[in-house]
Amino acid sequence: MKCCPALITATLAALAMLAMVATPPTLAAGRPVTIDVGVVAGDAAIACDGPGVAVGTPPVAVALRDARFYLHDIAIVTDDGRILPLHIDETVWQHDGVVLIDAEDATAGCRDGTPDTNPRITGRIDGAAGPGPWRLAFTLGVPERLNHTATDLSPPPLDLAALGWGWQAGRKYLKLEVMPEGGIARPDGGRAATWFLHLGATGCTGNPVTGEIVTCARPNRTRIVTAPIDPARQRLVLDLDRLFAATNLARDQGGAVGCMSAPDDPDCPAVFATLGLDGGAGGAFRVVDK
Amino acid sequence: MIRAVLVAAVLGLGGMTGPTTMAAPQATGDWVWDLPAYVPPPRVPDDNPMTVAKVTLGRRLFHDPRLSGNGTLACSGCHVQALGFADGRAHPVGATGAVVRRNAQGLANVAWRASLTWANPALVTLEAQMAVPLYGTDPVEMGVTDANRAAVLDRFRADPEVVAGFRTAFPDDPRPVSFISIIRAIAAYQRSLISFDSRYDRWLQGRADLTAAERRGHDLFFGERAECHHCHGSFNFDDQVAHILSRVVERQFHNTGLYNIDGEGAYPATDRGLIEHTGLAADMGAFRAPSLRNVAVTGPYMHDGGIDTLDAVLDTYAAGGRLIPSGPDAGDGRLNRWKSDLIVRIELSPTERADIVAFLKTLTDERFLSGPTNSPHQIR
Repeated sequence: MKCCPALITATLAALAMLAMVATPPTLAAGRPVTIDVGVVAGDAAIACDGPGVAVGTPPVAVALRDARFYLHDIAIVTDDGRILPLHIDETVWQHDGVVLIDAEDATAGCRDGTPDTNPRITGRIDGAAGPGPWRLAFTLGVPERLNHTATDLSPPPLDLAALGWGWQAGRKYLKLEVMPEGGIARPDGGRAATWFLHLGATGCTGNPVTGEIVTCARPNRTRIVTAPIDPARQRLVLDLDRLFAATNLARDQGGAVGCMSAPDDPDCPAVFATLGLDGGAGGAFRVVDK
Repeated sequence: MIRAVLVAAVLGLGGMTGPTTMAAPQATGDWVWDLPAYVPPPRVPDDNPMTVAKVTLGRRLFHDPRLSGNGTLACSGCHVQALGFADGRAHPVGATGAVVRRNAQGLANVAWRASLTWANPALVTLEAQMAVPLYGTDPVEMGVTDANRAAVLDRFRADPEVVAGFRTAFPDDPRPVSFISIIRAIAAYQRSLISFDSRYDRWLQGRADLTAAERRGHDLFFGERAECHHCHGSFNFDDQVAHILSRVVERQFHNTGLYNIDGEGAYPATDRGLIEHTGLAADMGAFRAPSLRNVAVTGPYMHDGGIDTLDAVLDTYAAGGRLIPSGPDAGDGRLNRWKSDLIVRIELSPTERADIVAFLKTLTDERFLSGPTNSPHQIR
């Protein structure tokens, strides 16, 4: 048996892998839980410096310009219906229950972004989740108590100027910007290069006496519960193919180019629906194998 | 006569700029609000009290183009003291050449405004408002971004005189050169832009006379025929005022019948006013009534800078709105279905219109426009 230590090692490793697969996955109390998160377009990857990927109806090849979003109130939902809040770690990407997913790396069309990326949520649960399947529950956006704070007074990841939304006195929950090949036709006959999706609370009213934001007529926070997910071998993705399923990205119908969450922007209902807002069916977020 | 005697007595106690309030002046830190009796002090955020050092730093920063991303544009590039802190253009231009869709408003007495910019109920503090010009991307104004924020601060950190200003203004802050300090200092400076020394104010205080034409204009302005006062009736000549005595503040926005593109009340798609926030059809074309302080020098007028002279503004209001006979914005604004009920056709003789304009010109505060208190800091 002197001949082949490499073979033995390989065999042992294969056996060990088999054992891992055979053991039902668990999410143990107090142990780190990592959930990978990404942005895709159907079966295709999409990256700032990657090739254009066709999305929308009819499909149009788009290049990425920005892809960042905030999540909060994240929990593991067990098969027997228990909701186990995920206590997220404090990092430069995670603060006070809020996680920023950043799928842009400041290359190519994303040059206005930040070089660092964050493709994951990390945290712990108090109780053991038991055997799967589990689902992931989260709210897309920034919670109200943190939404209207100044970026200049906030710790990361709430400090980014690009995700501040000055004129709405809040933040962009989701900043997704794509550049369709051939540009975008506007209703006034003009052309534009970038289709903007800026999701955030609108209709906000401040109180001049106290200097505070009191209410927002449209909080625009959507609660999402995913399909079953095994964090060890699956990840959560925002699928642009699903997000823009009923959107023609080559044609802007009015208002801001794309949808900046204006309550009467004709381009908003279709993407709000795929995000699950305003009673829409959702589906833009899904679970895929890693 | 009695008023003049009283004023003289108060002047003797209160200093050079006019009668102070009957109560003791509101002091915060070493800042003293020196205001006429008819003006309560403005509210100031608890976390940004007024101090002389902060106002001094804010004045320097307000006039410093190093604050923009590419180092080319200061706040004062679009808010010029001699023009009442407006800029004389229909549309300001940002640091990277982008044209701003709305007219730059004057900043006189901005500390008392209940909401900021032209149609935004969410912006109620100068500190929050500043995120729009600093970080806004649609359009770019100052052009500060996450990528260049540190470089902008480094420009100031490399200037010992400015660093000393930050240290003095924020003595408890171990790292005082920061964007929050910049925002707070500039907000404090903006609150110091006080204009209550116009001929009109002096007349109110018994220190000057108005001409017969100006007085007739005053009476028309505040009367029920011209009805200007409904939207411009506060001490700040607008209808959104907040101060330390305010319990609740009504924030009103008005459609004044400037457009009616589709016959259904539409304003140009590029700027539809309050409806952009609320989504309510009735808020189409609704904007905040601007202050008329120093209005003779803050033109061109209206939210889009679309009317060049005060005479033309008067003509528009007397007509009960504006008819645009041709072009892409053609339509009869006078018939705009969302127009304020207060904007109706008014019969005014040419003399009466001239009288109102004459009165409006008494709101010019020469000391505010040229005086040393608010003069731009000299940039080396």
